[in-house]
Amino acid sequence: MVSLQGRIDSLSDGLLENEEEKIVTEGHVLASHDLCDSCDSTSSAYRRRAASIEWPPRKQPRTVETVEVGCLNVISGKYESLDYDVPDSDLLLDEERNSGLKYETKKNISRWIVFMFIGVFTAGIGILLDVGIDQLSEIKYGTLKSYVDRCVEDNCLYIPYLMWVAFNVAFVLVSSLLVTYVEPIAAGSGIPQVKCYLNGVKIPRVVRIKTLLVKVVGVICSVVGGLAVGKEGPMIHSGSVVAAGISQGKSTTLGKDFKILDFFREDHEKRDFVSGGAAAGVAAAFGAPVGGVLFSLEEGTSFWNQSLTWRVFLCAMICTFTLNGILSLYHGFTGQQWYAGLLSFGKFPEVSYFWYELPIYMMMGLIGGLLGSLFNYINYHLTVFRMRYINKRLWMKVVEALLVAATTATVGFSMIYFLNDCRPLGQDPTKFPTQVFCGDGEYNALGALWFQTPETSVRSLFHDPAGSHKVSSLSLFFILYYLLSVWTYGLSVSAGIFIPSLLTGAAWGRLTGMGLMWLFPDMDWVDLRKYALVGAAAQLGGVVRMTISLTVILIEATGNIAFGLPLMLTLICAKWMGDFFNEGIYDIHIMLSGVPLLPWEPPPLSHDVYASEIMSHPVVVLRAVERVARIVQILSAETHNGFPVVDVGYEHQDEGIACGKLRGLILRHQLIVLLQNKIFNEFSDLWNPKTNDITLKMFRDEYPRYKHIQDISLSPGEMRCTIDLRPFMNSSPYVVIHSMTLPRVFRIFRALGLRHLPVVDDTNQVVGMVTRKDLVRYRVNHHNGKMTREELKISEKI
Amino acid sequence: MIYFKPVGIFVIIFLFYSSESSSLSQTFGESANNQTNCTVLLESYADASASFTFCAVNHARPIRICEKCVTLYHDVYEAHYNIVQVEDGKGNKKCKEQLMNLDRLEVIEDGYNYIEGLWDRASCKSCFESKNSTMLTNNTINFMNMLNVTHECFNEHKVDDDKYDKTVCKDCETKYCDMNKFYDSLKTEQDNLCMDVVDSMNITRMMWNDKLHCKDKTRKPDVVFLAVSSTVAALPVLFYLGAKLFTTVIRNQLQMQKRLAEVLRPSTSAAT
Repeated sequence: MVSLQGRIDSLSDGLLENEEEKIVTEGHVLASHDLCDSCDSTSSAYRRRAASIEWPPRKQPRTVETVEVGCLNVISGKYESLDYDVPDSDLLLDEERNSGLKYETKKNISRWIVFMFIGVFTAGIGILLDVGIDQLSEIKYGTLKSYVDRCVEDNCLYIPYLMWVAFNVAFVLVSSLLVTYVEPIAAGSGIPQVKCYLNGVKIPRVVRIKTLLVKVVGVICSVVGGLAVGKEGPMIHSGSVVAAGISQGKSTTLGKDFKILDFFREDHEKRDFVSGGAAAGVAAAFGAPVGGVLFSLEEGTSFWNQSLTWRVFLCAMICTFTLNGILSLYHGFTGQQWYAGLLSFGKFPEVSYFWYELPIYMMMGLIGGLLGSLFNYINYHLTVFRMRYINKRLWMKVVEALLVAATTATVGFSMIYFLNDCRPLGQDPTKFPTQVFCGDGEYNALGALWFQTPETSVRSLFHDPAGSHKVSSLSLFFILYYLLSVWTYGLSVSAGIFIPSLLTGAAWGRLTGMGLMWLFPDMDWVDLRKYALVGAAAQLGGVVRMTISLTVILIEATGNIAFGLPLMLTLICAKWMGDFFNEGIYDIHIMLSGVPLLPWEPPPLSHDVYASEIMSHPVVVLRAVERVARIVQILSAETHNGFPVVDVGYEHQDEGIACGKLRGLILRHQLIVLLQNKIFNEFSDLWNPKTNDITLKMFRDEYPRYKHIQDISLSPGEMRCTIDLRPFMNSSPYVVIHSMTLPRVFRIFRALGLRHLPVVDDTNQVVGMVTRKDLVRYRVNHHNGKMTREELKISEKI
Repeated sequence: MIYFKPVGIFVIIFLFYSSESSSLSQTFGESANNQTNCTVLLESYADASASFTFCAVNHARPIRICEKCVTLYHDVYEAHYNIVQVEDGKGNKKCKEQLMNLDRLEVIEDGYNYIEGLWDRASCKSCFESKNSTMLTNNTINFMNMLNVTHECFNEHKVDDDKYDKTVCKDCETKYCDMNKFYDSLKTEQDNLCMDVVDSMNITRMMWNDKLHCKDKTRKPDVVFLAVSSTVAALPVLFYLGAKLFTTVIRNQLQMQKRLAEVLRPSTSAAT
């Protein structure tokens, strides 16, 4: 026994060099000493080992199966769920009994205040982004313009070209280094990550302050670095981080605890705030508070209620208000609420349409769907290539980003150099009109498109008067920018997809308008602005496949409610056309990274699948009063996060399948906190509830970064103690019976936002456990006119 | 560029019409003295605005509105000011009460807004020393002198209608370039140049580019640029090829799933 304790101690002290070996050893040793380890341990040491993760399956060959990275049909084992279900323990009961209604009132008021602050701070981030990008790009394009002007005469155009490349490479280098080496989760737009978070998947480090910093600096650098990117997606992610940060009243990264708002330190509350933050992010990015609320609704809809909607709306409104006020100040309109949102499309107030234009808009929607699905198709293959051949070495990711930056500058400069699309200087030309090879008093139309941030280019394409661009140069711009944006998305920099999609869409939309103008020269309903807007909507809808929120965002950003129906029809057509071929870009990236995202609906025609088939079978159970040594052993050997607690003495009534009568459910982090605080039965005089408070606070203080089991040291004496789990466990977990069908299990799981769903037989004996990955395994694809059901594989945690 | 909207023309017609018909209103007046006084003011305003509009349209191409119509503009301003601001002895703005805000057509204000708007959009203010002055600024005068010199030079080389001598480019280049440079320096000094200046510069430039064909549009290929850009364009291809050739793909192990079905088939478990 002494030798056993020694082993366990060394195990719990950490430093697991060879995990597999140790676990196996533990299995042998414990099986011979302890008959109640897990439900299968009675038969043999081998059966005992079946519960551990390393065990080869019985019906499959012993060799471990492997798959290449970058498969759509593999779920990564490294993602865990969030605990949205608040455990119904005795501690919670105590807390409610002691605090009363006053505490509830305080909590409710704090909730409102926190939401308001989220709005204000998100707006602050938005302003930082906007002003930063504005100032830096002014320096960049101002310098480039002056050199171009000087060099046209002296025939030294390679100097501004090289400077452009150098500017791009330098800024993108900063962004890429930060993202690659400091915080990889800040890569990309952040919307997929927020979507996963709201869906209930724990994406490591997604809402940390470090992520926020990297994201903000990274996105400024990548936009100023001239990539085909926007700052809107990152804005949404930033809003979420702000929300998660403010609502907790502490920062683990900075090691600061303000001792406030500790009642919000659980996944459930945090998720509500994050949905508010995401809404505020949308509101800040597009000046669309209603769109923001609907975005949160669309992405996290299964956990939603009326009062939360109202608070989220307040948060979005406050954010728009703050942003407007301060940006108006910055642009010199003091006190006016003029600058709604980072991305201002400019107003389209007087744009009207006729009913017979609707088919044209729908056609454009279909084209947008085609172009969008082509975008996703190419980007999917590119992403797989990146995952397989580039992501392995970090420096290659940086080099790739730099190459894209240099090529973007090259493409831009070549277009200006080779295409002489000259336009007379109007009364209010672009900020940096460059003459290049045009006559005096003229400027290069392509130079005007390239010598500004993509966001301003969108606005120019929407609002420039007819005849600002030649068909040939605009077509070339569209094709090259489309390819560049496909290439850019998925690089290791923080960057959003909204603006490049809008820009390419606006380009081909404008071309469509020019075509119509040529066909119907005397019709006054042909208005280029309308077609540029519809094209932009169609392209964006075809790429991201968002529905209601995107429509409302566009309506709000253009300030034209009457144009709502055309936009909606366009987006519906774009989505249907795109969905015929593949998924939206965010979903593709989520699938490629193997995140177990629960879809809206259970797979169709699945009523013949029963809970007994879905569940994981042997379950690792704990007894109501459990030995510390065994808890430590299980926590070290298993990666599960929830353990059913069963009655003492009932563990093995039924030979084989059942594992004892269910009494409750205890979570890994609860066990860790119990071990850490040494709440053992033997020391009960030391933690008498009357003198020393064991409350929920103890658990909340550790949230959200719990210690690893290896970091908890216990003496051999303590290992021999026991813990009574009953006061701490969730004494009434949601359970399903083994004969329940898949759609029902799915709906319970999805609607309640569960993490663990024990399966019991008709005598209330635990027979299995349903978790997120068990449900996500069943995926239905309906593309190319066919519907297929496949079962996904689950890859190892690395 | 300034376009005269048809609305503007209508306004003028209305102004003429209303000045004619104002005699009608006299029959309704009770205090004849006051009435005549205001009618006189109205008539002078109508005259002033009519002559300004005449002047403006007359000098629409090439635009010389600011230079030629500035006195007329001041007349309009004054006449309007009289109607709006002038008081009788008791501090009442009698004429304003009698002439304005009585009908929804608002002819007087509409006409005045049109003239003010035109003056503003042409940024005529910036041509003059101050708002009330009729003196052109030194910059404007200098510019106009240069303009005249340049155009004289162009005309000297005129062979035929719209045909110019080939030597025009060489002979007038310094004059044109001086003017161009001076204009650019003005442009950097202030944002809104007055329309007279902007338009004359535009016309001259268009002539220079399109009619005289003086802008040298042949350019030597920039070898450095072409070389560097093609290298940069080739780099990604090399990079991706290199990545593909020299990297082995990471493979992920699959997790063994724990399913009831496997437990229920003990026959196959004997393999261990």
